[in-house]
Amino acid sequence: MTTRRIHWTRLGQAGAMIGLPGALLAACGEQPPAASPTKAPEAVKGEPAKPVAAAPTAVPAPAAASSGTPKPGGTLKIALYQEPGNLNPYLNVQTAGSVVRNTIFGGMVRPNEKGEYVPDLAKEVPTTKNGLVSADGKTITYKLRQDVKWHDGKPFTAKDVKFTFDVIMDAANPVTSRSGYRDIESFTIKDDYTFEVRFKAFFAPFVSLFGAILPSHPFEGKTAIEKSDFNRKPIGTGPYKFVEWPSGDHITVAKNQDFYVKGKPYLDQVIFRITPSREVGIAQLKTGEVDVVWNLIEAQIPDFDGDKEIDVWAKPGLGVERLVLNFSAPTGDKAGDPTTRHPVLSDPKVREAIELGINKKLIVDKLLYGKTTVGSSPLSTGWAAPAIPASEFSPDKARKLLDDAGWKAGPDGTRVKDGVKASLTYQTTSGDRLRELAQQVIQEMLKEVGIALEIKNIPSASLLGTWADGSPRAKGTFDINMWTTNPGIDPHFHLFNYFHSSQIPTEANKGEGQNYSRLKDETVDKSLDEAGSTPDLDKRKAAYERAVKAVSASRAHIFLYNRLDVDGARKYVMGRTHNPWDNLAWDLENWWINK
Amino acid sequence: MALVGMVILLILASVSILATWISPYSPIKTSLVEMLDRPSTAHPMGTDELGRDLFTRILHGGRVSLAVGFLAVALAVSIGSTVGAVAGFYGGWVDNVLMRLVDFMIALPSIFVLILLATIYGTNPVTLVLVIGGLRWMGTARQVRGAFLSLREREFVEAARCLGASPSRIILRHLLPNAIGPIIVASTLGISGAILTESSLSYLGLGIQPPMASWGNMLRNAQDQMVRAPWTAVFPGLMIFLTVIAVNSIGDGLRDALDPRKVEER
Amino acid sequence: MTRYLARRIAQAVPLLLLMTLFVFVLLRATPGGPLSMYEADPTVTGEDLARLRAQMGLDQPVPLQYLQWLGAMLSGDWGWSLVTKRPVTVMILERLPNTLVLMSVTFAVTLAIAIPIAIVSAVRQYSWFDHVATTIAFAGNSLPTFWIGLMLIMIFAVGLHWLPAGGMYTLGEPYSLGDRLKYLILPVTTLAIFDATHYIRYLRSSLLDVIRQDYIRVAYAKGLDGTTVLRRHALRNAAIPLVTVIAIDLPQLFSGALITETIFAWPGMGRLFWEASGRVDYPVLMGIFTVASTLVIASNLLADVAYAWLDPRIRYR
Repeated sequence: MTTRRIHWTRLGQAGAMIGLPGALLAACGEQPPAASPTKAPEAVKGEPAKPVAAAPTAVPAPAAASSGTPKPGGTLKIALYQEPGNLNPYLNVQTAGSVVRNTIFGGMVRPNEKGEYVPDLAKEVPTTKNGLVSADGKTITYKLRQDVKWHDGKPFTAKDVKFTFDVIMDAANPVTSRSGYRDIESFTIKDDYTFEVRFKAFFAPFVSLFGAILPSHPFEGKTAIEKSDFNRKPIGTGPYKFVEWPSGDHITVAKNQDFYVKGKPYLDQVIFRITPSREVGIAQLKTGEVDVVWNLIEAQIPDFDGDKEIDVWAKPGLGVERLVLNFSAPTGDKAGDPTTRHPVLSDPKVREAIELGINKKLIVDKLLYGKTTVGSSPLSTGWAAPAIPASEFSPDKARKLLDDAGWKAGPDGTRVKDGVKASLTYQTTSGDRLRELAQQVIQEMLKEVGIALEIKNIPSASLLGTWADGSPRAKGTFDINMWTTNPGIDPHFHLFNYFHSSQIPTEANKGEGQNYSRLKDETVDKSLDEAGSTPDLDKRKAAYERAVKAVSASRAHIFLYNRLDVDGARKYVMGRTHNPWDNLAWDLENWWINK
Repeated sequence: MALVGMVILLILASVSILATWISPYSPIKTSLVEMLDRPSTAHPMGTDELGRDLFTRILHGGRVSLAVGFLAVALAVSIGSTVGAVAGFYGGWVDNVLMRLVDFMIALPSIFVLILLATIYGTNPVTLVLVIGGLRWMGTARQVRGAFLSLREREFVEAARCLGASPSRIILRHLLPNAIGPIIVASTLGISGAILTESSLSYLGLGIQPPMASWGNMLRNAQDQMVRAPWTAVFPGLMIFLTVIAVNSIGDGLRDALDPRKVEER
Repeated sequence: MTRYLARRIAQAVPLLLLMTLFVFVLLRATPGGPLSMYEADPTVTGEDLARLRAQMGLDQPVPLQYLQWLGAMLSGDWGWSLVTKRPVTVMILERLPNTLVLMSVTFAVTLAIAIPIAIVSAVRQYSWFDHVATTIAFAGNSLPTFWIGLMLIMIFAVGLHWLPAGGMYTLGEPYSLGDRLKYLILPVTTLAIFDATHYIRYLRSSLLDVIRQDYIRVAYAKGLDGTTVLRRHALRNAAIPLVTVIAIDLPQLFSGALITETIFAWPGMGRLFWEASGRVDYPVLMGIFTVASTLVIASNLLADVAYAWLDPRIRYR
């Protein structure tokens, strides 16, 4: 599918930008009052960020790039396996789009490779300490850089930010998300380079709002922009200017001579080559038609074994591949209703046996060529990631557990209890090779302990569909699903949306929430409520640890392996730093070609 | 040529049917320690990306690929002959309606519809047969109708009608046998098309789903390790190649045999 | 003839309408929908989804949606893509030329290969050339196109570095015909291998039929030399069925390009369809279906007309 290969997990990288309250960051020191935990916190429009800040704290040169002084000039070609729908940051969710947009647009602040926010178009990150966040945390003031110009030479001012806000809130625009923005009570322009935002209630991830700013002058103030040419020929403040986009073929951006960081970017031109699949991108990297291939999968790493001209950039990302188990009845009138019980999976012993029966290490070693680590927690990295030991692999224990729980082996080897067969459907996105392989291995491992899995893959558009579309995970009409998701910069939204009992999709809440497992666990609920109500980072961390431990023990999700961010590049591509919180192009102004 | 094809096809079909008895290995049991082993005496065609014996999977995959090919065509021929027979026999408005249906089906851009249907109705062997068969019957329908239109005015049909034979009897006993030649030829050639279609759908990720093997999905899976393990690509490709060649040569042979004009040339 | 044409075209219109209805229903029956692309973004809440649903008109009853689409289409507005927010007509018109280039070059190459081989094969039936040619023709028709394409990439692009693996032209270099041709070689070869074998078999057998006819024997008897007979009589008559087949096949070429375009990163209609189907971008899909079906119907009509034109014995009412 092949765009069928829309790799939804990596789409989740947009989620990498989920707001982290600036003040929560050690680097910022200050701690404003926390969000009200009573309601589902809304993650914020994750518009991946923009050109690096002029901040002196900006990206240190990585070791790999230190082979000489950066040489300006040259054209870099990057293969993208999906074509962006458009380049308007607020009208598109695909990560391929955000890779390109990262080079064109700038925003207020952005996360660096350590997960700390650094200023971009703002002069500094607002905190209570520097007085830019009011004591009640509801009023945020931004001071803007005064040396920034749009690609067409017009000056960048607070008017543009206000315009961006108006675009997002214009009822005519099908913007992907208004989270956060809809909680803004007032937007006041103080002067050309200062504006103030007042929230109705404290909104913790405020810092991630205004992640990309649109210019007001090309629109002459008209905020209904859905059908504007701009969406395809954008003007930004970023290090590269849009040049051309022959549909289906490539997108070219060229050096912004007026970029506010003097001397950058180094490259004259970047061409994003659109390929129908990763495989095609790999072939083109090998022939030298492109210099970089964006977003490979772990199993493709050995394709480059012994290739002296190509580097594989593989670093731990934020995604965790997991099994999602349904606790509620998957069929019948009340399917997915949290008051019902799954005939097999509601038994905790069965869930435990499933985890005991899966040899995660073998999967990592063989299918992922030992390039990553086994999963044990939804938070694989970051400040809140607790240390959860890897699960044990012991088919014997699993069998004993099931025997003791009354699940006795039937004639075909599949266990039966009270006439219910331990036979489950197992779904993931069809056409995903790595998942298909892992699936077949897991199917067999569980057969060994007497649990039968039937693989029934469906296209990602169906598997990941919405409540209204009748997607199985939203409706609760599945047994086991497999996919990757990614907690983003602030783990709260991810943990809350996926595991808090208030987030179970039901008729009543029109399917809002992502607690697809229908997990109802008091410890999880209490810990997450507590974490959401305190600004104290240590308390939050402890609360998350309790929640994550309870989640792991519940096996609502069984974490298989931690995903890597994998990209391939010709050896002469220099200057790149991996940033798990953002996509490949986040620091493209630092890249240079050494040949 | 046709005879050679027949022999090849019979061999392929019988080893596929007897797969379970021929190979000691399981087609789905994985063995990660033996991933991508080269062909050896233990594994004459090597192993695949999950350490499964490729030869075994080729045999089992043959069942699926051949079954999908044959059944899809069987379905297409049944629909096509029925529609064509009814249209040609009754003529008039029945013919008109059915032929508009044929026009309609022909106007559908088949690969696009195929992709949509495979997306909606899933990709197990049964739906694949229904989808592929359901989109390939129009040629047969036209052929049968044409034959019937000319046959139904002939004396022996008139005679049967006068003797009070029922329409179904006339169709089945008198008309169909006389129109069967071209149907057989076209359907034989259709089998190769159906097998190739299944493999193309596999390439797009819409073919038979794992762990079940088909030559098409084996070929597609091989794509990922073509350089490291060329044998995973060569053997399924060879199987498709052999089958299609065999089926086509049988089809050509039948055409020659059934075409009275060609007899003198032999 | 004019009346015949008018009648056929009049028949085609309801056919097209029915087709669009059928496809529309099919598309809207697809599980998951255009909104599934938003599910992956954790910042998109239920409230956002409900709003987007209404903004895209997906909350309306399907029959109404169809009528709205139809009404707009008849007035020339083919709708806007749900993903790119651009007019469907613009998107199709951007891709159509690329597919047409690929198709027409393939077509020319196919015929340039097929016709001479078929002629020699037929004239020298059962010669070694005939045997070799028919065997190759058999083989070329026996492998999936995607497989041929992948093999060509492995050998000529990745292995030997002779040719590019995909795309239409070298990025960042000015236009040159040579460069364009270089990028055409592999996809065209992939398609032509498959198509040429088909035509070789077809033309050879219809030539054989014609050569055996009495008037050809008469022509020889008159003392005309072989080439003249072939050119003036045999080829002309053998071309009749071939032209029909070609006309009917034209839309096949169009859809056959889907896989080839996918393998060789060729930005044509096939890929547009493939991408749009992954995102359930149904205005785009409807547009492509309409264009493709019109092509099929037109080709069928063309086949009949060509037949009548080439064969004076046929009269259309």
